[in-house]
Amino acid sequence: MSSKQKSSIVSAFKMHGLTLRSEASKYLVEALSSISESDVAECIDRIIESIQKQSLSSSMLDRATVEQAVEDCNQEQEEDNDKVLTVIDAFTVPRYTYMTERKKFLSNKALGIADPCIHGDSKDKVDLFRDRYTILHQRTSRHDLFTPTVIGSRDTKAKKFELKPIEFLLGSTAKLGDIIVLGMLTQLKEGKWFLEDPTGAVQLDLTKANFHTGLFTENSFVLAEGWYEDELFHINAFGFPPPEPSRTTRNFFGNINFFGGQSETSVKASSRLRQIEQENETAMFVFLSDLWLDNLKVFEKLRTLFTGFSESPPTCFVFSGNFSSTPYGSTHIKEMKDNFDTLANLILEFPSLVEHSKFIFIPGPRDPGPANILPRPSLPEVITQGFQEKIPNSRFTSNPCRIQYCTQEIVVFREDIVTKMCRNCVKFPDQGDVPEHFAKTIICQGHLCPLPLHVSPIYWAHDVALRTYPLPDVIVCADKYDSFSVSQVDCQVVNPGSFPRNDYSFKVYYPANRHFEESKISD
Amino acid sequence: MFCEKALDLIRELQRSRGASLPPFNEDTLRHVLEEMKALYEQNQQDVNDAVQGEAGLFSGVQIRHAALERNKRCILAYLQNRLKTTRDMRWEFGSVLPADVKYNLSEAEIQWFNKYNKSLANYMRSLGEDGGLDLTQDMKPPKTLYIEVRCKVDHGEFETQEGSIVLLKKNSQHFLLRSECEHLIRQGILEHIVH
Repeated sequence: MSSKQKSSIVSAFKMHGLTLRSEASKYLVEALSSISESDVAECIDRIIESIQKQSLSSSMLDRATVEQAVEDCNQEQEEDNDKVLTVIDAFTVPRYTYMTERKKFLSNKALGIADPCIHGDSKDKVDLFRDRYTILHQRTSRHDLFTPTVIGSRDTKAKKFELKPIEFLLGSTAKLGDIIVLGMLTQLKEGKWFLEDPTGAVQLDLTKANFHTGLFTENSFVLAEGWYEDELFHINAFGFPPPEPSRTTRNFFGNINFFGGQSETSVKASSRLRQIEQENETAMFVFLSDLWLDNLKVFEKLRTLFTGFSESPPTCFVFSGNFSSTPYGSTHIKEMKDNFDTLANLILEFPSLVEHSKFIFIPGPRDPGPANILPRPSLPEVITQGFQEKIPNSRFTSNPCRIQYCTQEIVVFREDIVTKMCRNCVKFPDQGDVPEHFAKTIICQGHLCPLPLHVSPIYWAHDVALRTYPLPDVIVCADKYDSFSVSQVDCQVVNPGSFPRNDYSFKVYYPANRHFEESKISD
Repeated sequence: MFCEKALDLIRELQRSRGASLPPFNEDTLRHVLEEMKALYEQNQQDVNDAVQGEAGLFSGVQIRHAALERNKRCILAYLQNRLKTTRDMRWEFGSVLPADVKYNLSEAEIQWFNKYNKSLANYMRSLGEDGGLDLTQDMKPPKTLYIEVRCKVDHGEFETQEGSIVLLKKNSQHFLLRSECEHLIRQGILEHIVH
């Protein structure tokens, strides 16, 4: 019996051009022995199908590959439900590298790039800026303004530009007028501004420069327009590389899942999830920042909040730090632990919330943990363990973190970034709202934190976690700055504002109609 | 000139003939499509004007239409040729494409390859009586049932249909059933020794 079954399994795989190693076929015979003979053929088909979904490197299958496939087949039903809401830690985001010659994003695993480590080497630091540049460069050069005019089109007068590398400037001796360069603003020498790209660096003359909207910080990428003479690039105007709606990005790169989560392909393509999203009109996300658990007033307001929501429990509470108003002292950790216990007890008073809502906690810059370098890992287990035992439907995650709800992608970032960026501007904008400028900056830069590394340090190898390309649907920047909400190119940038400092205000998000609501608990 | 970009695609095919598949040239393809869109819109407008009574537009429309048709033919030829190469690769490399070939395919081409693979497998299984017939075997008429092979890389254990296990170590020689080791030869793991 077993030998007959074995030969039928082997031949089925062979017809698909796959060969089993001996240990793999042994495992399969074992795994399939419990299944009645009539179902075996169907099972084999399903296993082969799921094997083909994995990215194979050779047609010889080893045991691990087959085991994975069998597991996938068993889990298929359960997994479908999981995918409605996923929280993605910053350290587990998928990594892709843009290949310039193939014009494609390929996963680092397929390219054989080693997993990142926290303290990377010099190459990681170089790659951090280089990768940001290549992503922005491919995005910009695809934009309408920079693609060559189509032959035969009528409006040939529409103004078109050509992106030049800095090499092109350095190599010319004559005066060059009217050129556009994409590069990074740096101060290679103190007090002097330079524009840098992978081919070289050129000094800038900013005396006549016009700045478009946005906060132009050091180490941000800009499109510089001007004329070049005598090794000096005279800037007429500065602009950010034009943003690209995520729809366009997906048109070009297909259904790659850049965001993370279990799904192999991007959740945007799933019609089933879209349907769930549309039907579930009561779904709500509550965003609240600076949850000072050592403050009695905050607890009082939280009780009001929970009472209000206990009638119709939201999908998810997203609480971000700091979780203490006095984040110092030798008793800090002990106090935090006790405070989380008190919070757990408070939540337990509302059984409907415990049952239906998920609680997500994002650490703030002054919460216990490693030094203030982004991305920041979740709160240490020693503080959160007691809480998680009482409220199992809770998740302590990193800063920033990504949340996928149905087909929507939400990035939550807790950092006092707005003031930091304003302070590090090359030139502070004369007009317009700061939130508008800020939103435009992070959308155009495709990065949550376009600041020099000495102002806001980043783990070099984990820079990917801070990138926002393709653009998510919602970026929540929890900042102590006044709350705001700005919408640009199909992306909403929102700040819930500090809860205790802004009259206990918070934001509620309704995914069904993609609407944010400002809420406040008044006295 | 019209259709120049489309001709580039065809030239690229011609250059790469016999060599491996070049990367999918999405940029040029998009450019041609843009051109077609522009041509179509202009034609539409001219035809509307002509219907309203304006004279002397027809030759322009004719030229643009011919350009449109030519663009279309070039693109279709490009796609069709690539598909053919992809199909041939199924017979050459088996169902798992080498990584460097795979990166050169577009998303749709990979999907097509998988579907082709499945159809072929289903067809082969429906042939014959016992578990199907592997058509990819014996692409050339075999002279003997058993052949002598030499291992070129360390491959590990290999189980034959009779159930005996052969250890394929580098530089070891074996006497194996031709039908079983043929795909390994094609992948370059074994080498057929011809005396």
